Amino acid sequence: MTAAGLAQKFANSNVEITLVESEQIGTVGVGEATLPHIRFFNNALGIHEPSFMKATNATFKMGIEFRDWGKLGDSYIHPFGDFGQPINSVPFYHYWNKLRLLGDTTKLDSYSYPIVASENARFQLPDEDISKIESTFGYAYQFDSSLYAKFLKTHAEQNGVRRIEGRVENVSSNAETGFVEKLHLESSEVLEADLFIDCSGFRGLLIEQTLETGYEDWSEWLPCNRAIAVPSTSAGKLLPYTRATAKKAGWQWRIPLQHRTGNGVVYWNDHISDDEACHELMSSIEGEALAEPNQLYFKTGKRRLLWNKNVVAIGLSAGFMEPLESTSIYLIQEGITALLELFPSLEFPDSDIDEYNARMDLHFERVRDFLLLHYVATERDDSEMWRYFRNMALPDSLQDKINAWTVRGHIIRYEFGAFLPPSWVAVMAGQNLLPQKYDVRVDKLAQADLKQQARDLEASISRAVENTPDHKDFIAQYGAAIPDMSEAG
Amino acid sequence: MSGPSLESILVCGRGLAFEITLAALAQNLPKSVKLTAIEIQSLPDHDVFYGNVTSPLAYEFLLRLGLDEPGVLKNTDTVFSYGTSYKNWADKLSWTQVHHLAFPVWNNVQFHQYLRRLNAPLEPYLVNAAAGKEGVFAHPPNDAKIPLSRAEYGYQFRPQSLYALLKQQPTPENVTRDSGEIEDIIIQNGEISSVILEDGRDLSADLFIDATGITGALVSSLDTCASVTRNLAMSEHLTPSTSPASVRKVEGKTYGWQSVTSLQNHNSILTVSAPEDIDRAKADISGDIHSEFTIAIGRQHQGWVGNCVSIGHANTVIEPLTPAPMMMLQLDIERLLSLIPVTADMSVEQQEFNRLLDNDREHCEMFNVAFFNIPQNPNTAYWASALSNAKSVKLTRKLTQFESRGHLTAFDFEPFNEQDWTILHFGLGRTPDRYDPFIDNVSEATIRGQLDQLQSGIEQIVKKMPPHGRYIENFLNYLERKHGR
Repeated sequence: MTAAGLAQKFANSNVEITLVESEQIGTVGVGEATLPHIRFFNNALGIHEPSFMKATNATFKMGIEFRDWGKLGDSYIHPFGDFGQPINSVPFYHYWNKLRLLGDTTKLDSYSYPIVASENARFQLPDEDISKIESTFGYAYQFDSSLYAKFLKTHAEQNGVRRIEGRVENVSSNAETGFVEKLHLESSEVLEADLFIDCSGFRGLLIEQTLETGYEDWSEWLPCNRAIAVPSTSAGKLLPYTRATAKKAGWQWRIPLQHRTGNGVVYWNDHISDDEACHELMSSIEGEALAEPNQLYFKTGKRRLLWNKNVVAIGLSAGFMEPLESTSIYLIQEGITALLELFPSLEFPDSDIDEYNARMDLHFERVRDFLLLHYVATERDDSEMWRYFRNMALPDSLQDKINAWTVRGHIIRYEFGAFLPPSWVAVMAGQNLLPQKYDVRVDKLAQADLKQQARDLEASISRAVENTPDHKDFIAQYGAAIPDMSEAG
Repeated sequence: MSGPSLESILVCGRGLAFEITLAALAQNLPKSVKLTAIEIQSLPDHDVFYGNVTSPLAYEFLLRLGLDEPGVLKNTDTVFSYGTSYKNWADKLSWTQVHHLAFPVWNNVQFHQYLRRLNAPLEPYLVNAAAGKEGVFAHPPNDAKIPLSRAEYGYQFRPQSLYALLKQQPTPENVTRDSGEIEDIIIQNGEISSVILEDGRDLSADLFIDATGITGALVSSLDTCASVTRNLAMSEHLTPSTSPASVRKVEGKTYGWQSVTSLQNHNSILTVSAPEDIDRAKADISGDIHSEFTIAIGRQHQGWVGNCVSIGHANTVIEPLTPAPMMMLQLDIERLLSLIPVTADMSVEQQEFNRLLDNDREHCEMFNVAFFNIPQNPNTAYWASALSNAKSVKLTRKLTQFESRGHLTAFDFEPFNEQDWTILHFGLGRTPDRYDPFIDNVSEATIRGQLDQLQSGIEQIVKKMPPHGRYIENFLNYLERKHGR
């Protein structure tokens, strides 16, 4: 992604971009689900959506289903979209909150077009007419990340990126400044550059092994530290959403692609062994396993500096948080965007580096809070892991958000970050963290009128979903299907 | 009880903040909430310090107060405003600070980076700056192909006339409105339990709103403190006018600054100086002074304390050099409406209101402070005291980033947007040390061609626009004919 992003920006310029990678080093296949922001990235690269989807076996994604998070047996979808539309400038979820407190049992989900469409395995592109309920959502993709990498590699090479197949054997730095100067490859080739971008994964070849930047360990808040991934054959309807099912010592993902399903489990090894986790995963996947399970080890957190001297860490080398809300690729994208906006001069001014780090720190911290919310907004106490979260002291930023919501249904908003108010509402309400009171402005609308408007909204969503094509049919009709998709279930 | 338990609100104060608060609460709260409003006639009138200009957000805000644009234009002396033209700022700088939608982005690179490459000015490419220079106005059309669609506008107004219009509005049935003087404020457990008036009335409520202006009569009776950054002297006088300009005009002076704001039938002229230079400022005034006072620029440490929320000058006094004072007042109201308490324990609402207030104040103040962060300010009391305002960390980041590379650092929900900051940077002559390296791929001739095309489109549209005064007249006549208003 980084090479493609830079190449697009610097095509036909005097900035030379070299990509060093080795086919022998595998990639981590956990980032197969994305957030809607990726469409901005693809659009900026001029990528033709159906071609990209065909090349990466992609499906559409309108949200994430969370099972067993609030309590065992619960299920909700965090949609990429809003709940209803504001009435008198007040968001609709405040009105739902009043109805709920009056005894109405209609779930908030019923007022979300993307949720109801997801539940029915339907999909269409958002309507451009913003007055229509079919316009009230965004979408992302579920794709094969290694195929996406290949797709972008071609794109990057077409834009002038020089690709070198090889492994870095050694790195030399300037003795005085500490700046990285040369990469020595196994092939004896030596590469010099002004700026080095470290996309070497967890090990952080340049940012950590060379510059010893240091790592902020967030295990205190996000203690899961291992994952096992395995692909399986497709089974059932092709769903336009990812699933995350909470387990006793972690959670399990299910990501439906056109040709297969991605599965995996994230867990805290203090409370479950690798063998047990693997057994639990393999015994619960739908379809047949297509490969041996792939074991991964990680520590949640981020580098103390994501940009240090003349090295910028992007991707897993920058930091890692579990892919519960599909934020891995989002954070890569934010890193690339920030780098392009703050692309340095040869002097590498501290102001550029400081600005980049401040901006990325904010994104990481805001994602961390949102992920942590899933673990603490729960009634579960059926295992050591869940009891750990019940006794946790939360970051103030998250505790304040939870307080404002539970007291009065107020969302403390921010402008810069992945998750807007409807996302916070979806998770908190979905996990039974419910406000005790409702916003007084809602009483401006007469109760009978409110009930009628809510019924009308629910009915209009049902009608709209009935007229929405089946997800799999839409992919085929859109020209985005791989040739053998008809066999994909 | 599952529903909100707030039953009564008492609003005390006078002037624009008082009337706006009352209108906003009456319009947006249900009738079950009993509103009592006590107008305190003895309070000093500093409404002129809200300034004469609003941001474009005022359009929506008026609707939330139960007013609309035609009604305000017809019933007050308000006119449209594309922004403010600054002249001789710090003795040397002149530019037009207009309200504008996002600037063009060519090849994923921001517009101002191209200007930096050519060392070109920004102003010729701002359609409403060109219109403001000619004194013409028209509403921005929806058609994005027309250059005027990129313009935004606010209003030029006198706070006193908006106050009078709001006061004339019918009183809703859940509002009890009266006047009186505060004799005492009874505090129990760190909260106001009642306000005693001189005539003996004892007014209790669940929530108290302090719109008493700089005295902060209610909020200062609780556990909070105020800080003052500097004092300013201000006066207002009026002069006749027949052809309103579509921008406010501010001229820098050695004693401070003077603004001329065109209204429908006259100009409101504000003269601002350091108190030490008040004689020099007065020598610059030709006409009868309508009001004059010295005021402390500063803030209450907390805007919401216990069960008392302060609004407008009661929590923050900010210099009306920009639309910042009206923006702050509007933001106070929006914060209050979204946080009307639901239980007797208001700690959540208080914390969130104060957090947002701190952010809004910092963001508005740093825009104003940035006006003075230029080399060689005049060596007089006003300019020296303005410069003594410390640059916040956020402002330092903004200035460093722009001066270094033209990058526009932004923070959550800033009232002044990227365009406002870009125009200000260019106006104050801030030039980035370098531009986006991508632009080296684009020939100078290509950039000039695109800029010329843009400028030519602007010149053509501005030629066709009517004088501001005639536009308002036609607009009001049209509304009269079509809608009988």
